[in-house]
This record gives sequence, C-alpha cells and structure tokens, in this order.
Amino acid sequence: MPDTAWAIAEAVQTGSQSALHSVERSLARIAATDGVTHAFTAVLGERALERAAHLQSLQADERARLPLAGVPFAVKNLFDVAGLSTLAGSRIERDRAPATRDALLVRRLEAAGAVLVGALNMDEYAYGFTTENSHVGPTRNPHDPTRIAGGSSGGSAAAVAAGQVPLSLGSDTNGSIRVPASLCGVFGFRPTYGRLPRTGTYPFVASLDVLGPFARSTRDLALSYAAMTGRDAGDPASLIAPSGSEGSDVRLTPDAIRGLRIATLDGYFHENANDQSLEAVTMVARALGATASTTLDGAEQARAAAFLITNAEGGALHLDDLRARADDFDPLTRDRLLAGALLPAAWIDRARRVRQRVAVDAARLFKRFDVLLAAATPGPATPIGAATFNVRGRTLPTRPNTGLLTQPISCLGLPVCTVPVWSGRSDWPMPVGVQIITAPWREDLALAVAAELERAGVARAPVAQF
Amino acid sequence: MATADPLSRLLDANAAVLNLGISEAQRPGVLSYLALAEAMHRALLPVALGPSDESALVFVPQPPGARHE
Repeated sequence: MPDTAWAIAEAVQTGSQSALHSVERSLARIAATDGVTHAFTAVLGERALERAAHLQSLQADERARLPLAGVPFAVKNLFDVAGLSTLAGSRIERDRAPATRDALLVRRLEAAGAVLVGALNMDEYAYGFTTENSHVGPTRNPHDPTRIAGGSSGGSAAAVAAGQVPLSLGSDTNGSIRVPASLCGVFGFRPTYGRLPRTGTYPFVASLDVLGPFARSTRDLALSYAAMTGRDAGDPASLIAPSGSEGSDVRLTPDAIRGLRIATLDGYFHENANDQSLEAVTMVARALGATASTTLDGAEQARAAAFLITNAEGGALHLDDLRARADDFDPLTRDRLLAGALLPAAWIDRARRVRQRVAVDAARLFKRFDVLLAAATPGPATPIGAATFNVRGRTLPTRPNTGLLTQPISCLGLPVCTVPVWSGRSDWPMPVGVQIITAPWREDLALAVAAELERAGVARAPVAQF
Repeated sequence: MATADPLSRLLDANAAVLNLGISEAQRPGVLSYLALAEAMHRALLPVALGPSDESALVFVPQPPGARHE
C-alpha cells in the first residue's frame, strides 16, 4: 500500500486507490497509534471523509490533474481550521471564537487535492523546543515514546514519523520545524523567510516566523511546496518573495546538484554538537563528496539576536493576556513571556541591527559556497521531562537550548531542508537531522541535495513500529 | 557586570509602567529569564555597529489592489 504522499496521489490519480480509502487508512492509523504518540489535538473525521467523497465524485481527468489527490495531511494547531478555535497550543485561545475560514496554506493544499484530517500538538504559542505542553500533555517520539518529539511543531513531526499522515505542516521561528524533524527522524523543510504566506495562522514572532512541511520523502516536500508557493497580501512578509519561479521550480534529479560547492560549517556548529550529530554531518558530507569546511562568522551573535527578538516580540504580542490572566499560560512559557515584555527597547534594536549585519556577512559566504551543512540538534531526542542536557561537557537547560544549532540560521531567514540520518550503531538507536542550508530563495538546491542523500540511502524516514 | 539588583529594579520599574502584575511566585522565573536575556545582549556588544548598520525591521508598503486570498 502506498504510504508516501506522491505514491498515494499517483494511486488516486490513476484510480488504483480511492481518496476515501487513503483517508480511512489515515484515520484508522491515528485511532490505533495516537494513544501512544499524542500528536493530534483534533481529528476531523467527518470533514475529511466528506472531502474524500467529493474527490471521488470528480471526473477522472479532473482528479488526475490534482498533484496531491487524496493525500491526507494535518497541521500544527496554530493554523486556522474552519470551525475550530485556533489554539496555538494554549488554554487561553480555547475561549476565542472558532475560525471561519481555513488558513491560506490549508486551502492551497486542498485545492491541490489533499485532505485535512486534523490539528496537531505544539508548545504553547510555539515558544519551546520539546512539545511538553502542560495543558494537553506531551507529544511522544514515535521511535521511543519515553523521549520528546522536539518542538515546537512536535505533533507535526510525530504524526509523520508514526505513519498517521504522509504530510503535515508546522512553523519554524527558531528551529521549530528542524528540531522535531531531527528528533523524530523525518524530513522537514523551512523555506526562506517570506516565501510561504502565513495568512490565517497564529503568529509568534512576525519578523522570524516561517511555515513549512514535514514528510517521509523529499519528493513529498517538493510536491507540497510547489502547491503552497505564491505571495499573498495577507502576509506582508510574503511580498518580498521573488515573483518568478526561481527557487520554487524544483528538480530532484541528480543533475540538479552537479557542480554545487558544498561545505560543512565548523566553529560554533562543531562546539555545540555531540558526537552522534557530528557523525551524521560527516556521513552526509561524505555522500556528497564535500570535503571543504567553513565558518559562519557571527553565528553566536545571530543566535543571541534571535533569542532577544523572539523574547521581546513574543512578550509584546501576549501583553494583554499576561496582564489579565497570566496563570492561564503554560508555566513553562509564562515566565519567559513576562520577561520578554520587560526588555529595554535598545537591546532589541541592537539585536535587529546585528541580525542584518550577520546576514550581510552570510551573503558573502554564499558567494563561495552554494550549500552549507550543519547538525540540526546537539544530539538525539532527550527523555521527556529532562530539564537539562549535555553538549561537549556543558550542562544546558533543555527548553531554551535544543535549538542552539538552528537559531543562527533562521535568524538569517535562510531556507533549510533537514534530513534524517540513522547511524546504524546500536548505542545510537535514535536519529538526528542534518541541515542542508542554502542562500535565500534557493529552496530548489536544498531539496535537490536532500533528494540525492535519499537516493544514496544516507537520509531515510522509516515509519515507526509500534 | 550587572547583578540581580539592576534586573530587579528593571522588573519593578517596567512592570509598573506596563501595568503588568508579577506575583512573588512568578518573580524568580522572570528574573532568571531576564538574566538570560541580559547575557544574550552582552553577546551582541562586541559587534561594532555604525549609523549605517540598518535594522532588520523593514516596513513593507502595500501595493494598490494587493491581492488577499
């Protein structure tokens, strides 16, 4: 039975499988496994079955033209879904009126034939890297339910790893797609800041937020990405995206990466990664024939700038609720937001200026290299409830630091495809991800490199066994 | 080097201006995150910035007839 988005779509397009069957399979898998993973906060069975029936009612040639025909997908619960309150992982938003319309990217995926089956768990207001949500409980890693799924899009990664859906959407402000993709062993893709419009989603940090897909194959990422691109005035950031096809016209064939100059990031990215993560980067570099290494100057400052901008924008966004009902926030989020609301403006302005400075320096680096490699997380998934973890002999708090290696990259707004790497060693049974980083608007190169790694067998995303 | 005292004063002053009540139970956590933010700010200080170093915050004017889907 097909279990990737492209294979399901082909089966539905050709009529060898019905959309109804693919949706029923997804709903059955969710029912059988979500008691363990706790990826979903809402399952939309009735809506999904109606949508699948609609797809079946189309003429065969109409259905054959839908690139995601009959593909079940789910979204982080900060995406608007008509009829549901947009929770963004919170208790507070339960009191808001239900959304009257789906988020733009949900509408675009459904216009391409995909079928929304549910909404997914996350850290409250996307402020965390673990999806240990105090209101509804943690999402568990499908490959080891005693461990975190990562966050803040933990439900999105876990649902794909568990085989509940072949495709999901999440958001990435400081690493919230790349971290859970790394820890759950799936492919995760964050396009350039501004590429995909965020219209109809609950914001966290408007100057950093990016939306993107999770899947178990690069081809699925490319299919969904193609269906979602295009500016929308509902999100001013999307108006900076190139209007042509550059970066969105993706080719995954081997010739697409011929001649690319690829380097591994050293310095900060070595100092904050443990042995398994460094080994994963080495495996990827070897498969690509990449022997060069280089330094991203200002990586530590970019991380610090992202931290401050996030803290301040997040605190300001929630100021009214912090005043009126602070105790309704997740305790894991509340004190950080309160602190963020109090920061001096001069600190934040400096952070924004440093951000721009480091982005200019990074642009020079991309004159020398087309692709940069770095680990996505310092190590594999930590146990649920672990307050700290170790990296290179240092003990760090888990929640603010699991994104150490992703934060500098998203601060610069760069596109990244995170690929899952399994060491094959019995003492390293869990996956870690490697970031395939490219220049702004060159998503096509990140996806093409990821596809090559998939063909080489270095990157793979098996469905978790229960 | 700043101590907890300036951060405590920052907390009290800014919370008062913002009319943001911070309970005794919340105070230690908020102070620990203010200390973390201050450490991040200090990490930025070695970067020499001049008047021409622009902020990453850019306003995007809305074109007439901008399409809202």
